[in-house]
Amino acid sequence: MIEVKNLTKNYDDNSIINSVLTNINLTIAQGEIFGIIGRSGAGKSTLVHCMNLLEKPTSGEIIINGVNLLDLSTDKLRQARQKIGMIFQHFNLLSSRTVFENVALPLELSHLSKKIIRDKVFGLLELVDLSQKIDAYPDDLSGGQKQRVAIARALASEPTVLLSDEATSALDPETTNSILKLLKEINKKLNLTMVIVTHEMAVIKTICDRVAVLDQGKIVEQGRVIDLFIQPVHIVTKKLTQAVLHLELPIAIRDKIKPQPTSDCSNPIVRIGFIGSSTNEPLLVTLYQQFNVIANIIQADLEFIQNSLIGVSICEFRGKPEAVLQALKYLETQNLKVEILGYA
Amino acid sequence: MLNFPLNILWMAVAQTLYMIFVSGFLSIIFGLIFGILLFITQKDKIFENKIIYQGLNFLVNITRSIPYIILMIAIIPFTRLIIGTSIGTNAAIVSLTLAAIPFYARICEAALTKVPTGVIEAAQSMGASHPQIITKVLVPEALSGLIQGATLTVISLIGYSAMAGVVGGGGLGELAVDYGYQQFNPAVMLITVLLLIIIVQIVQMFGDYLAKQLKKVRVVVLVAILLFLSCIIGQTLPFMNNQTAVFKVGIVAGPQQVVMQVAAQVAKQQYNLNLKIVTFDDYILPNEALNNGDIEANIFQHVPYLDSQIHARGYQLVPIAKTFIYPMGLYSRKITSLDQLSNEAVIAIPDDPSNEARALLLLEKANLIVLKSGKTITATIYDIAYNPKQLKIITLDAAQLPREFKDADLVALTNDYVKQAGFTLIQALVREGPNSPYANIIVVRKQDQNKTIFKQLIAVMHSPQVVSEVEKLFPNGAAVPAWQ
Ligand SMILES: Nc1ncnc2c1ncn2[C@@H]1O[C@H](COP(=O)(O)OP(=O)(O)O)[C@@H](O)[C@H]1O
Ligand SMILES: [Mg+2]
Repeated sequence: MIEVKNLTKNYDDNSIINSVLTNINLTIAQGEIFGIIGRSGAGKSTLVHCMNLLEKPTSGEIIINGVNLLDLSTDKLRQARQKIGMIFQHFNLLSSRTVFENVALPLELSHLSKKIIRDKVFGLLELVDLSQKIDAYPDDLSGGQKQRVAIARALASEPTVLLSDEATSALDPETTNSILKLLKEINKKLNLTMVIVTHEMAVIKTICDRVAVLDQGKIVEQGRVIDLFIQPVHIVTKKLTQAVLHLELPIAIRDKIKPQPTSDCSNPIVRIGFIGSSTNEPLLVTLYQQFNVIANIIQADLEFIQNSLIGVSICEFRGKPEAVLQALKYLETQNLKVEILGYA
Repeated sequence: MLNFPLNILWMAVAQTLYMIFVSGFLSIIFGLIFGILLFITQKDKIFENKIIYQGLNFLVNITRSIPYIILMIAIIPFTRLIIGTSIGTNAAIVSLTLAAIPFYARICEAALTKVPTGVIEAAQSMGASHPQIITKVLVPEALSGLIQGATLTVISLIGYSAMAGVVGGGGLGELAVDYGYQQFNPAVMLITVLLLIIIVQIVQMFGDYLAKQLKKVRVVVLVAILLFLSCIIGQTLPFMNNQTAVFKVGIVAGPQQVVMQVAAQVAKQQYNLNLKIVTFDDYILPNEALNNGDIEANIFQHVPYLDSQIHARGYQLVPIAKTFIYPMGLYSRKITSLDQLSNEAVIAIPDDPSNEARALLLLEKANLIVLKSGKTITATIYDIAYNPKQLKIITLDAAQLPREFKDADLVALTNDYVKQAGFTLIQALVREGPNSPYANIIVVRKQDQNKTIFKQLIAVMHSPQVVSEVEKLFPNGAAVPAWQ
């Protein structure tokens, strides 16, 4: 379990204090895959580097498995770090070592015997499906293979936590998916707590249980991934989810809509999000039959986020203003997430 | 054919290889340590420490900006402190090492900077300690650059080692300077330069090979350590086994080296005395080394020079015997005897103070002028008291004198220029005799002057074998025994 309490990180360059993280609070449960997303420069890397004290927080606490890392001596901190694996965007393998030797490095650091190291490394390379590349050098591997080596290396000292900083950002979509699949498998097999830092919502969508959205060093929104998709609140979250769900409004409509109803623009544009098996069809019929409101679908998308189906559609509601209002109230009673984007 | 003994050449090769290896080994080890310190104490690095970094940085900059030749002389007290003497091959190694350490430290710092920060970060995230990061990540990842830098360091050491002659270090560089340059023996110069080029090539090729075959570095390091240890043992063993005193005599590079080889043979055969000839490349250090006890005697100077050095530096040195005089003479292409010298004739003499006085004393000896009373070895042309023929005496750079025979009626030449001017000493109209103060002398420390061993040294220098060798090297009376 990882707890981050009131974490603040400032850099002071020539007495100008640059606040990179402000008052971060997070609780990540054992075995959970927790995402941290944000735009570039939001402070994601700094936050994840604070979690193993590669970066020293200005104030706050980092508690991993009940131990506050900031209380530890240098020696004890090194021992604690052996139980916190980390993988990186650029893999950070040692180019002078073979695949085998790279994975063996953390084990050499804890002075294990050659025999034990050998057995462990073979097991790990099997886990990441790289047994055939055991004597290759990193320069001769593809990006995906390098990240697999890095994962094996991070798992070598049997960590309870795995930190990942943009681990798939240098990879193509197909390789990204295979690496994410591998991480998910490992998470299940080893009940490992994972912190996945990324700027891509697709990554979050694919493997994370919960996510925190970081913007300008602050957590602006956090919760279950599906909740964020069906009803994003913060503007940054909205933009990030929209891109994944293909729900950008067509330009013709986006330019037309007004934030408040006017005499000639009184039809609300409504975003409806839902989880589960309910589909649009009977809903639209009900709206027409009960309220005499016509719901015109502009955009709609259905997505599986891990095991749940979520749907989001954007409709223009036409009808008498009172009727439209009642229709919207009715939708909320049906456990749907409704948001008025504007009026056309 | 080469006109010099081959064993000197092999000796020089061995000295060069020994100097390069030992100084290379030591400077690579210490340079690496300082280079790593320079790197890890930088800002944002694993052992950030402003004071250590700036201190080291300053030290490296200072040592790198001192010219090697000056460094070599400046550290003489330090050299004496750690190896007990300031001359010889080992003394040269101390200064070579000291000059190369900061050079290699900088190269290491640059090579380590090329290791990606992320790799170091990864090691830290695994819980690696600082020593582990250095030995398991930094050095192995930068190894190729470190080896290329080491190659560069060793090659520049080969260049520096040519200057080792100043402290009697020996080696090919000294041989090239002594025989090739100073004695103008082009064949020797060519051979030594060729040998140096071959050594540089081999070092470069081996370095390039090793930089690609990184797995072999371990073996090479191991071999180097063993070789280094055997060098150390080889250096100390002779002292332990062979307690017969070695008697060190300093000379200045030149034909004297050949003379002293004969002298050493005579000393060994007749007195069982082990003479060790220490060759210097300049005229200051032989007295300095004698005064501070690194050598027991020197044979290279005349009394006026010794006096000026004692005056300037306060040495406690005395001459105990004369050896040979290499006489200055007066030569002419216009006249065949001094009687033919007309009034107001032009006489050209050297313009450096020592030789100017020497020429004036020679003119006085020929009864052409009279110097003011009391003026001898410090005389200048302004000290002429009486000049009956109103001779026009002009002073010129010594090297210019051989070209003045058209304009001057009489020219004073030191030994070095006689051949170049197309004369032999016999043709001089007047020349210095054996009792001239400009004869070479054997000089020792004042407190040692009565030691019997010096009687033997004098006997050796005056022995028929040495005399005949000198007469062979300086034919036609160019060298005259000055003790008779
Ligand atoms: N060592 C540093 N010194 C000063 N500012 C830094 C340093 N490291 C990061 N920053 C700043 O902190 C902010 C967050 O950086 P980072 O955590 O790398 O963001 P992200 O990973 O989300 O792209 C950026 O504005 C960056 O300029
Ligand atoms: Mg980042």
